[in-house]
Amino acid sequence: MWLLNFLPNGYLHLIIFGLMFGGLGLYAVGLFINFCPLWVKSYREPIRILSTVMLVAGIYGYGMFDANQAWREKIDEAEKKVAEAEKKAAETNTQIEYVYKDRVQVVRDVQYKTLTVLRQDASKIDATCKVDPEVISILNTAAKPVDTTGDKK
Amino acid sequence: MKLLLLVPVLLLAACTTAVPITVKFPDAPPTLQETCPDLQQTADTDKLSDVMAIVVANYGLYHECRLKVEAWQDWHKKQKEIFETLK
Repeated sequence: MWLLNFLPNGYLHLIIFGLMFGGLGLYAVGLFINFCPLWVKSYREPIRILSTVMLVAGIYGYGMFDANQAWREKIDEAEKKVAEAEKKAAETNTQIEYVYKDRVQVVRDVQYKTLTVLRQDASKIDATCKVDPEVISILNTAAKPVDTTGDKK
Repeated sequence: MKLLLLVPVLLLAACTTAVPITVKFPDAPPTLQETCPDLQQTADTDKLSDVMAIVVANYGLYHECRLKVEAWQDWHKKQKEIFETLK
């Protein structure tokens, strides 16, 4: 049945209705064939069989086409939802990045102001306090990246 | 007659039809994917102002990294909300 997905809907409709109405027409022909000459009557059984097969195939095809259409509509709807979600996700990314950059700028501005004040008061601070070399070593040890990849045993 | 065997094969092939919808996992903004830098080391000095300058710089790095973590949390929360709408 998946092969039918490659056929355009118009052609499918034409084929299905062709089978249904063709089958009905043939069935009617099979009913009235009794009034025909004898040599035509001999075709009655094949015509009835063919008409029944066409009718059944047409009705089956109609039902299948309808079910297929319902699935296609569901898929279209889901695809639309996914496209909308992807668009929303991209917009959210842009917004989050914008807010993040803005907030980082605020942090850098505050840091710049703090460093400016520190430079202004540097002579005053350095005059009253001398740093022991041990302090630098302790501070650097604390700031050094810690290797967390090793096994904990 | 042998050709008729193809008919059920073609009919049953419909059972393997897959729904052609895939949801792409959203990429996070590139700035959030950068790792936080290491803290700065202090050069040998006896001036407290120099030491403080490094400490202030390191505080700045911490604040930036904190903002990055908050942005990641916000990103996860919002992307999850969007994903939930697809269910």
